[in-house]
Amino acid sequence: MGTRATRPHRRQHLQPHSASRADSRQLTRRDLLFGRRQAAVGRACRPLPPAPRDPTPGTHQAAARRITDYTVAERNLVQRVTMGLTVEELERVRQLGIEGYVEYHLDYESIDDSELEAMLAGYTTLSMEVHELLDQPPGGPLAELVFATILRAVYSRRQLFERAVTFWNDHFSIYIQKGATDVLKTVDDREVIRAHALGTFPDLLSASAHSPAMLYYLDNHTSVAGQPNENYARELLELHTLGADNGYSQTDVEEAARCFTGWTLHGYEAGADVGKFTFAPELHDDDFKRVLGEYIPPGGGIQDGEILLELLSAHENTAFRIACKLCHWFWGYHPPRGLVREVTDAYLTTGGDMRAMLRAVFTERWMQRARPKHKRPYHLIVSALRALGGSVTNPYGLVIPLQSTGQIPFFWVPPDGYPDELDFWSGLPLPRWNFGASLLNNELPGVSVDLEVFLAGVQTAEGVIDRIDQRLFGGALPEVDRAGLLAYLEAGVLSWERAAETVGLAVAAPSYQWY
Amino acid sequence: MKAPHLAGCPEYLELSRRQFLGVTGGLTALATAAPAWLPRVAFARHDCTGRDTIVSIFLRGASDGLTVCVPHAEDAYYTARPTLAIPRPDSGDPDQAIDLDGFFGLPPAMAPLVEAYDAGHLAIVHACGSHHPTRSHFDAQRFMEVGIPGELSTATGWLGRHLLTSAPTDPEALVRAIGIGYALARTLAGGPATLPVPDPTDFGLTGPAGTEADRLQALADLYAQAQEPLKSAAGNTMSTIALLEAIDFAGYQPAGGAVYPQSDLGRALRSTAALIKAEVGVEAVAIDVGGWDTHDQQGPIDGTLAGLMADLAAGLSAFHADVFADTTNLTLVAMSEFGRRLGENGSLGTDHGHGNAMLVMGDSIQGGQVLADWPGLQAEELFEERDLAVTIDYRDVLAEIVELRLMNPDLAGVFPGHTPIFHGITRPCPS
Repeated sequence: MGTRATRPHRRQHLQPHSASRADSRQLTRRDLLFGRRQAAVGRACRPLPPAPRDPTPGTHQAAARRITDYTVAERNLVQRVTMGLTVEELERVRQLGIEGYVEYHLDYESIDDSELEAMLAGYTTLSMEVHELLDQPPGGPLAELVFATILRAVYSRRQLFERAVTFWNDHFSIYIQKGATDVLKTVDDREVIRAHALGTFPDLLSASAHSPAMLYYLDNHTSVAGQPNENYARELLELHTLGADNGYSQTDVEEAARCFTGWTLHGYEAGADVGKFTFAPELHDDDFKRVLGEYIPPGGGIQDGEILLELLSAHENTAFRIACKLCHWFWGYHPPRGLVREVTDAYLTTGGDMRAMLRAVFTERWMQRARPKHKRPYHLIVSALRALGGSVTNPYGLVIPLQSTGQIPFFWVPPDGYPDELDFWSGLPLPRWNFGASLLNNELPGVSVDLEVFLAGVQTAEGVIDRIDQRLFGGALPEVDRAGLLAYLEAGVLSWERAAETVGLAVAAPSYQWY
Repeated sequence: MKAPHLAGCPEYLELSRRQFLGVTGGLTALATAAPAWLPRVAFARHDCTGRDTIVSIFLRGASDGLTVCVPHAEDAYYTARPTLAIPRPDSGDPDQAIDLDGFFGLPPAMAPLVEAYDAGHLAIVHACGSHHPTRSHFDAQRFMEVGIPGELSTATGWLGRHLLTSAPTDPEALVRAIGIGYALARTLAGGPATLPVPDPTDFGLTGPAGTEADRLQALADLYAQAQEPLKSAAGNTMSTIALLEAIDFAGYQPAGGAVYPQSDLGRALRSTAALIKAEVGVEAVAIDVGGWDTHDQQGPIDGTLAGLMADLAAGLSAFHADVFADTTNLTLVAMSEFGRRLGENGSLGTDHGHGNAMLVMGDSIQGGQVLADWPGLQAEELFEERDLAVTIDYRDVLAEIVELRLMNPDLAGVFPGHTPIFHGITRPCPS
């Protein structure tokens, strides 16, 4: 836990004025030498050549040929708002229209989620404070948090909220197996991520900076005046806000680290307050600072860090970078500049309001143009359970394929979060195939698919494929995959076993890896 | 720029070479200080038969080179690290460094590597790394693996490009390279017949046993018509399933009395050893070891860093005893994105630094030396007055291995924009 070192206040840094001037000269020289792009472009939205061809050839032609109720924009929207399309969600967008559907999901607190809440009733650690969590059996809170996260993704009706939670848990990623994070992360997930996922970015950033889990994970709890620890300050600038080397220097990192000295958490001596955020003035470097061109006068105490957080939240580079990442997550790879500009403007005019930014993304025009994205393993697994109406009595059964595909929630070690890149995940299809096979062969303990319900009323091989098309693909199953699945089904005797294997192959099929 | 996902078609080799050479415009300033006309240090052209297999280990998080290879002759080291320094070899301290050459030493946790060092198979290259100033893990790892500092658009890795620009050692090889992990290490990105394999001992299709072959065929048919990169990934997967099923990992007996540690690294090295000895045409293996970002309570004697180093040393020494007993055509490198700060921080750890120590192991490596153009640790000798400087570009070390042990003369393709200097990490072959 956060033991508080007692060290004398020492000044070891260079004179701030000359250091920052020298550094700004150096920064300019580095810009020239290494051809760093203008700050306005940022990292997540590098300009690229024209879009690659649709990876699901025949999708649109297929949609035109067969009778289908859903437009491309509707299907794209549902697949981006939810963790996997269902007939129910497609029907909802049909009834409410695109704008109405978006507003329905943005007003997530009005969506009745009592079924999910009943499933989570036994997960008592989710609402506990740290002092109670420390009394639990080791690993208990960790397991409940991982299990609850999976159940929420599959069963919550507040799907857009869950998509935002997944996004922010990657953006403010914390590895749950570093010492005390196995209890601290429960509080962080509740009071930082879930409290602000569809709120404002400044609120979320501030909550994260005050999060004992984050401060502990990035070693800030032992950062003291005279010998600050740079880890949190660096990742705050690099990962959480501006972006790598995108408007700050090494000196800024050091000055930022000085701002956050004393931001720590209570130890056991605080009794029931153990593990809660506290500011320790005796550990804080109270001398003046110069960070990101701003002069912070001496004696500011906790305000030094608060000022820096406000600076970062309001910074144009932060707005652009968050907008880029949101477009990448909610629209697709290489989002058009126009879209990113609209979302950036929404950030800057509303003070980083998530709902405003999402309204800019989820329009008919942008959804019409959205290009397919590759499902990460977590997304594939959750979407399959949703589409198949799977039942999960023990979420450990889903941890097994999450482990073999490499994406158990909160198990990513460095603070940059699970990547959301095609090249990262696409090289390893075998565990995805095995998930499809295992799920439909009842090999995952505590997880089951009722095939009789899924195939109710189906009498023929074609009927099986039609049902797969409707439930998993919203009517957009491409001809090539349809033919391949039908061929497999018809090669054997038409039995429940063969049908189950065919459904498993559908989960593994190329077109089901995209959304 | 899309990474080329290729199956080794000749016409694509030309295309890919143009693509990644095209990005060098404006980056020539990044090349080392040596002028372009300066010829490489001339060593006798090797007359060695056989190309080495290469194992590339990436220590993720910035390993502390000043602990991995202790500059015990430097007073400044002890001044800067009153708590974290490894005691001098002659100090009589039970945790004292193991002297290597009178200037550098190994920490006690890495004692198992003394044998390989004394056998002339292990070399350490110090004050080594990339000249790029970034202290971002993620950028620095990317630049190091891509092999082009500052380059954000290129998606191929240096080892992937080596495979692209060289013919397979075995024309029949189904798989040329694997990265042990859930995602292919960027080092290997772009390599033909290359894929990630989380666990080589367990790589097959599950589900009902009776229909396994039929279902695998159905998947092959489905993915044969898929768009890239899924199509190639599936093709590589099919090849690899067949390949790995034929290797008896469970029954593998390490040679030389080697005992691999019971860790992810130990298991990865053991699988790699079995794969190499099976001689199925795998030319390159990439392995990741995480956890080196010791900002807090570094523990070089009996804490986190000691544990990491002990595991690394145990794994590498087992690999040395196991594989080098049977195989001479093998080179192993271990690198990290940058080193760590000379001075310790307030949390008894170290922050991000610059120059680092690189490990190189092989039968035809000029081992038994710490190769360094040592810059010193006085304030004016440090990089940005904080960190060990870089005096040997890591690409020099890799380029020498690529040309003289992997027999690939196309260094401009593997490390575009860089004119390497060979420092003598490889032994001349008998002529």
